Amino acid sequence: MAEVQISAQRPRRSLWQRSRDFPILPLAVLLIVFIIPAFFAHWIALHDPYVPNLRARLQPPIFFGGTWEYPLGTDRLGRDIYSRIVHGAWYVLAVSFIGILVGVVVGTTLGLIAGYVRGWFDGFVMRLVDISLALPAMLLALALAAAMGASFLSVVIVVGFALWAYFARQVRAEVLLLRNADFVARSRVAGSSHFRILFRHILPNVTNTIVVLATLQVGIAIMLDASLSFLGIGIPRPTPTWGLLVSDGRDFIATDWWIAFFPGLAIMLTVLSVNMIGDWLRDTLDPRLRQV
Amino acid sequence: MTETPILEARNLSKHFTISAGVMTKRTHVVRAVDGLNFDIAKGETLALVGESGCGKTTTTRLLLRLQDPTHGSVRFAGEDVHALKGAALRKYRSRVQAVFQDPWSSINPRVRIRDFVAEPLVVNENLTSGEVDRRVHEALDAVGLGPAHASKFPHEFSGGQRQRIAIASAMVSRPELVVLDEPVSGLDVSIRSQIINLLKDMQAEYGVSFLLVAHDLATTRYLADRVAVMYLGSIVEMGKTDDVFDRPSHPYTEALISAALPSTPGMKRNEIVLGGEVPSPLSPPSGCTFHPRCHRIIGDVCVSKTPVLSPDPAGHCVGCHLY
Amino acid sequence: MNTSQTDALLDVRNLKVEVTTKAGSFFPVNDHSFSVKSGETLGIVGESGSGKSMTAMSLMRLLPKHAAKIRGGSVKLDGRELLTLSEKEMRKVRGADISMILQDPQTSLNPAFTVGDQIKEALKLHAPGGRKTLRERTIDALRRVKVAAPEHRVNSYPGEMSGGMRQRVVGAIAISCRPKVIIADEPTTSLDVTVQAQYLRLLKELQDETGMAILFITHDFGIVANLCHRVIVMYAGRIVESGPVAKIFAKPAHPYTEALISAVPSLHGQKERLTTIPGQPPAPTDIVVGCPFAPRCQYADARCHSEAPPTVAADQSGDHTTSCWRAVEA
Repeated sequence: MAEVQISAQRPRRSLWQRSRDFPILPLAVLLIVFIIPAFFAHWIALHDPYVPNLRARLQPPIFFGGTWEYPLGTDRLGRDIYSRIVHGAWYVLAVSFIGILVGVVVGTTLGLIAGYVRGWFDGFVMRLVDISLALPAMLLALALAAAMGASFLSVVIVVGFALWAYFARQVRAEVLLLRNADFVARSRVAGSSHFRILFRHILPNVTNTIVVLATLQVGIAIMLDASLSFLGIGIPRPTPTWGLLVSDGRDFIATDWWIAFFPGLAIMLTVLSVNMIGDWLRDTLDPRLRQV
Repeated sequence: MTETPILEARNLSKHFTISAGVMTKRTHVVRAVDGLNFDIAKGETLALVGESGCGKTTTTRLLLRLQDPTHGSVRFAGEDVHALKGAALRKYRSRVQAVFQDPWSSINPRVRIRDFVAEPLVVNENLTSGEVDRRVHEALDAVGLGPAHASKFPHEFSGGQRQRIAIASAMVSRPELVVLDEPVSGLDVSIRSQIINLLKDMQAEYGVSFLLVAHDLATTRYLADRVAVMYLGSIVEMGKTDDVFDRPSHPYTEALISAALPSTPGMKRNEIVLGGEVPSPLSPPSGCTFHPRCHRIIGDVCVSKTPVLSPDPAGHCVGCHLY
Repeated sequence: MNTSQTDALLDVRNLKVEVTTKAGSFFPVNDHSFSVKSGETLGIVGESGSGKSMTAMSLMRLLPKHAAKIRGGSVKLDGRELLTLSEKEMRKVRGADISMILQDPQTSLNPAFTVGDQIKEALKLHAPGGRKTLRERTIDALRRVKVAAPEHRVNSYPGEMSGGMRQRVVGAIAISCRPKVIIADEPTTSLDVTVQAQYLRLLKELQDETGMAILFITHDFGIVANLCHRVIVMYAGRIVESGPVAKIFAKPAHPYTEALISAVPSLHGQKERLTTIPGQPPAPTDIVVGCPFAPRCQYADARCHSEAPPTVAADQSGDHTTSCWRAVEA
């Protein structure tokens, strides 16, 4: 109660003030490990990621007996690990971004409508959510791979399928609160259509939630993509997605550890940074936390 | 009340069905509002007063067509409100507006003041954007806020200013009836009187009718021409504000008025202490629903027979076996 | 403030609380001095943001640690300084010597436990006893707040009770250890009129019975008029007026008090147009030069805007003080 009194009429902090506690380190890591490689792979890669070079098989990374020619070492076909990671970043980015977009669009639409109209449609959507959360994404991935063959599209569908339920559930929960807000009643009294209420009054109040949730899901999407590739039901070879790279190094982990280690490190750093940025976004955008 | 009323509620009832228990499929019927009859004349303020759970909020939701009644009807300018469709409904929407209790939750935090105030115009009328702007500025001006505020967001305003904005939005389409649901109870004392005066000025200038819902009797006394006292979903007494407040007839009205704290120290009052609390509307008492708490109970008739709301020649109605 | 310090039960001198937010720091409690005697009810009146809840929280030493700090002054209960006590000692004071009734009976009870358990918990902390004595004292506490059939009600959950009944239970917890001071922070705001009247009478009866002092925080002058013996009026973190209720209503010395009293609609008498106070109270982070009420005051002159007025006696008796330049001149 004390907090409420303090914050009741406090002026909003300017963007500059809020940016002071901006997570610079995670963002820098994300740029270096993920964003820049994804968009500029052709400029920063040292070798062609697909062309084997059998004379340079299993070179260790620099500082472990390797040379600057292959800074992170090479795999058993003599392909440069560094260049393969850099080229793989694009696929990881594309799969997670498009996959999450699918999840956001499907989940938000269903969640909005379910929470607003209630009734049988709400029950139907929520059962779908339950089923979707209970069904392992791997199972669907296997089924899809069997039915249509593993491809970029199948991976995007799997990621979207694995994530939409989280968005639907969260958005529905917020809509359930918002639909009883006085400003919704007032808008109905003013004569607004349901469509207008949903998209002009309710949707803008859940966008923060969606943005934050989407950021936090990037990590899950990347991990899922990596797991699919690792199991061989992701984007097919020779595309060097990060999961595939880890999978490639699996048999050599005891002797030539660098093949799996560096792609694994890239996954970890990316997911960690994205999650930290997501936490920061949540704290910044959540009005309840912002006030204190 | 010689002229035809602008709004007539006839036998208006809203019953909710609640299912109780996990294993059994037993259901209860809650009579949130039961058989209300009242009129509102042009330019008049009718107040619904009563304690929480008496059905006053449900009544406003029925009038605003946010809910449909179980029985009975609401007629606005002669037409059944709940049968309106299409253009007629849009017309009703722009002629009947509302101001809600909580100025913090009744304005969408993500919409600019201009868009908030303009909404009734934008959705119901075909106006050019310049015309809308002019009407919005007029409305903001009428509630004492300059046009410079139009481009701001709600969080830049205090509670009192927000309530002014809500009033501006309710008045912008020049409605004939505005439902005021506890318009000042969320505000600080020093702001309350500003809003009460503003509402009175608005009524004097535009001739709008108000349906006021309030639990604060003193506010009601300042704003209302007539008062309907509600208890457990029914009106127990209705009449001119001064008559009801100065000479309450129903025992519940007596108790309610006597319980209100006088505003000066040492003032003598004969407080009537009601026993117990408002019974659950799930299982209302038989006969007169007030009989278990009544200090003037006359006998078996109170327990067995539901009293009828009967008007005296002056139009003062009391629903009690004493009269 | 010449209340002799010897008979004061709770004596607050020059209390200052600073709140630090990212938007700056300010003093929601700025140099407060007041005292309350046994058996006395002191009303603390102010609007939202005036710092009245902060005052209560600082007396209990329950301020949010990261944001608010006590920056000076003293709080003496029965001559014992509370501000220097260790947290452990302070825990013994809370509940046993000072306790609190909060505004919202919905959230101040834990819905997962019976009301009996919650009263017992308070009792156990300060006066342990056997199972049977605890149960008896729990029932007794409920009986004292006039809950019907307390033997059955101890086993009820808060969800099974009405708002008024729950607020009685909150009261029962607060008085269960027979505290010397009760701080009631707008306990009746969420109650209906008839239930509010019952509750205020109950508080009065409990006070007559136990001689406890009550600090009643409210924005409602109606409650002050009917319940309190003395009142302090707060505005923007400062005490602008304090004195016996009858005097303040008869002859308010500060323009804010005067305006506040006349702005309250009355249930009786003439229905003339309500007087209003123009403008809004300052935001807590606003820098106030001079008297904080000056921008809204009908009597303000140049000095009011530039210099903060001192606290002076409003009449000869010395129990009525105000901080207003008009009183200084008189």
